[in-house]
Amino acid sequence: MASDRARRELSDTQFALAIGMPVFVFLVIVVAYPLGYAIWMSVHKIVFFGGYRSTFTGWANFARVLSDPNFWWSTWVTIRLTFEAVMLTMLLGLALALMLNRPMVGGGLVRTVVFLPWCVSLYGAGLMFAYLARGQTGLGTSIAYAFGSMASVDLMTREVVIEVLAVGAAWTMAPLVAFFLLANLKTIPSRLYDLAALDRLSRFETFWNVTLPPLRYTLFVFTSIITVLSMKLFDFIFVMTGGGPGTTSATLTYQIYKVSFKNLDLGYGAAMSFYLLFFILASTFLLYLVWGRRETRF
Amino acid sequence: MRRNRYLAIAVVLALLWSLVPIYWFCRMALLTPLEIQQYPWPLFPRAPNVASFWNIFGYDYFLSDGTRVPASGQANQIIRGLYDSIFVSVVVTVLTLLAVLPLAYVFARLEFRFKSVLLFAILLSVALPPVSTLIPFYAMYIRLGLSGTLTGLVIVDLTITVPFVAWMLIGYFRNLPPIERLARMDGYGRLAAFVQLVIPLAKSGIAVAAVIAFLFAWNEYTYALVLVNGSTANTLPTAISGFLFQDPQPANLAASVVVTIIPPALVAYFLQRHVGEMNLVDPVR
Amino acid sequence: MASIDLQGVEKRYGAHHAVRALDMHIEDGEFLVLLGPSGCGKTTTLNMIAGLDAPTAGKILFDGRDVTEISAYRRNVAMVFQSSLLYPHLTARRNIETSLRYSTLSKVEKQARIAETVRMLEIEPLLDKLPSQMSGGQRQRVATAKAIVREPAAFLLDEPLSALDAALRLSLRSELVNLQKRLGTTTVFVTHDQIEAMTMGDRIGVMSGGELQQIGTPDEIYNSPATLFVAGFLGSPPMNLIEGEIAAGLFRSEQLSVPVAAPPGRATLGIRPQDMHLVAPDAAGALPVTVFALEHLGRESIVIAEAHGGLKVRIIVEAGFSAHVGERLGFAPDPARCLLFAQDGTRIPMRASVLA
Repeated sequence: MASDRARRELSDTQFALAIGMPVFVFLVIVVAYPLGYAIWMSVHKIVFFGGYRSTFTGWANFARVLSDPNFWWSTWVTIRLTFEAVMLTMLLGLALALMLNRPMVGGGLVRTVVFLPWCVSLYGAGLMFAYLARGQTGLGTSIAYAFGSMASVDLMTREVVIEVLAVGAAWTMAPLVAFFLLANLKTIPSRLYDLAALDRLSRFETFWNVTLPPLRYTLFVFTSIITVLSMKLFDFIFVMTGGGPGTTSATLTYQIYKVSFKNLDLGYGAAMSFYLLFFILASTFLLYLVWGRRETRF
Repeated sequence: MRRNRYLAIAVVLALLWSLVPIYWFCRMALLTPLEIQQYPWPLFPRAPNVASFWNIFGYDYFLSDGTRVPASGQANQIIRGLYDSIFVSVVVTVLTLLAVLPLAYVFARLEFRFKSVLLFAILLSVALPPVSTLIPFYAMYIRLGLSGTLTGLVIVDLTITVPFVAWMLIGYFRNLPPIERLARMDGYGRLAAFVQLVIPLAKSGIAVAAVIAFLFAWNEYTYALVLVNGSTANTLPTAISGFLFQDPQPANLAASVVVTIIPPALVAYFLQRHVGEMNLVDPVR
Repeated sequence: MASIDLQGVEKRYGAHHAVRALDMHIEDGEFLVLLGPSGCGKTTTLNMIAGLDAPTAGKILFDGRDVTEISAYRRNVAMVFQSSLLYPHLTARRNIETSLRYSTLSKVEKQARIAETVRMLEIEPLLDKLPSQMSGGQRQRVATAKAIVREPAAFLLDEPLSALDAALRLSLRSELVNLQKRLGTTTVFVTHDQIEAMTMGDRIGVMSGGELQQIGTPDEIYNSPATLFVAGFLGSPPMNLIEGEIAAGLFRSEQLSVPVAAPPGRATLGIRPQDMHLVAPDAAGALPVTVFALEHLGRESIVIAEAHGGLKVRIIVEAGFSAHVGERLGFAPDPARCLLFAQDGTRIPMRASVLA
């Protein structure tokens, strides 16, 4: 009996603690600690040159951000880029998913190719789109040349560089959206399409009433995810435009990078990064308020 | 049959959309030095050659007409970067799995106190912009002497892969049938049931998780740029950025980028079959 | 093989009482069915017997030995889970083998046991298939084999047949009973299907709201239900339950009046559909009704009729009977067959009749 008692099983909580504790500790160390340190830095002025020094400055860094015209410009660039990238990614993802859902010859190969851009690094994609868009090496110029024109088609201009960035971002992110939507599409019973045909629904009505409803919750979740990813986007921009021309495409992430690692004003950069974090959380919360709240998981 | 034609057009457009940027670089890598001096560069290389793939690994190459294409001056960094990238990616993948498997399992299958708070903490760390965690890491690493080391890079990579992969696997584990009860009837302890039954059952999901962790570490650039760039520890992307400023040979740049795409291209084939099984929507529940 | 005793067993989840103060004795070799609607606590009870859930209070004894603190495996019980759960990534053979993984038997003995079980359940052709390659009935057999290969002290089944189609259920029902009688293993079978309960169990325990309402042979449960819930839950078509008032030795509900020997007060009269006969709508003491539907079952027919206040009343008539919807009839209960229930649902413990 004694040995039986010794073998009594662990409760859920005990087991969760035993097996999960090392990971909790790790997460606290690598996520919470830097975050706390970032908070500490944001209320200090930190000087690297001539020996590491820090002086407490209270809210000064946060106040300085608000009166910094570069910050507000970058906020506007971030909003514009995020909006365009999210719209493009979601529409493209939906279109790709609908296409892949049709039976076709060589479907596996098509799926692989469509999925490929997601696997390419943002860094590599940035280089590719930089070369594609630039006048000297770009697709536009080559096509113009093929039609006998010597014009240089440069897309890296003040007017459209953000749109080019959004297209590139959509290129890398849309496949992920497409694949999750595809998994959802596969769960729609084909009987529903028979029913729609019996009711003589038009193709658009069928899409609206049969195909779309089970996708709506996934669409909401991925709109949130893509919003977060777009606002976090950095290496793609860094490689492709370097925030340029001028400061045309300097998003908040780029601005934070410049402030922190070019100007080495770490406290100020940390303060700015908390504004970005706030924008990210606020925009997902806003999305939830106006959209997600009304969607139910089916 | 009209529908089929529309579908065919859509497929062609999708393939073009996905492949043109990649083709653009493959083509650049295959151009001869002579073609690169033209304006604009030809859409299709007239004499495709693999010279630049030899060059970036430090070998000269002779074209069929006898022209010598010299080895790249960046070759050492590229080779070093390749080794370091492979090392970092493999270590990150292994450590991520070791950390995430128990974590995701516990969150997906058990009920315990503070679970929703902890789950929210994981989601929050997925939302953190890398740039903002980068600042404290940078300052910490300088003081701890970890900047410019692969160890430092691995630790930072884990801050991204662990929460994200955990998030993916929680949804996957949740949808597995409740075999733990069966296992308890058969005499398995909690840990034995997890290791001997749940993990083999979940192997396809775990494989996807591993691939995603690997891809992330392989493709990671931001952290490497700030934390190890310019040091002896150097991953492939930072090695490549050397070309941007130092090597005037675009074909070599293109060849290096193509090399970085090869592993992702291999996993793309694997992932497209399995990624739908993961359920990113689920863990929110 | 073992007798099982539950003494004051209770299970709480926070403020929710899943099972309340449960006392039950299960004989060695008995086939006991736990019957009740979903959420009544029957599966929780089974899990506590199995050792998968620990009771919040009370004791569980196997052959008089307290096993409350002992793990599932050490209790030497076997269980078939809902929809015959198996390890999805293992073949039938490996699934059965895992049952003996921690057993101290020698390799030869294990193989002999498995061979014997496979022969008994005739699952030889399934051994190398994965659960996903089997039909529902095949999975059920493999799950049963996996359970009995250990020669358990008790055999526990949690709605193993509920996911199967009707014809298969019918044949597996008798197979299971036959197997249980041959092995003589104490068996607890959980179901929400009253026909399964009536046909399979030596005894039936009816549960509702976490409480055991009544435990007894199918005959006892059917003919003398202890509570209103049991009366209404068992029987197909279900018992008619008519609310009314007892006064001066008569149960009255509108025009219906039945002589009873019971103290006055509000009460519910229970009468099975086969214990009423048809009379004229205006017959004294009968219940006037309007025909709502007529169901032909071949051997007999059921008249479903509407009485006062929209109350549906069923009566079994002979096969040749015909009536049209809306026709007025009278139902007269056989006073000797009537049951009375008090307002709290308990049975008023006497024959309803003074004429009997």
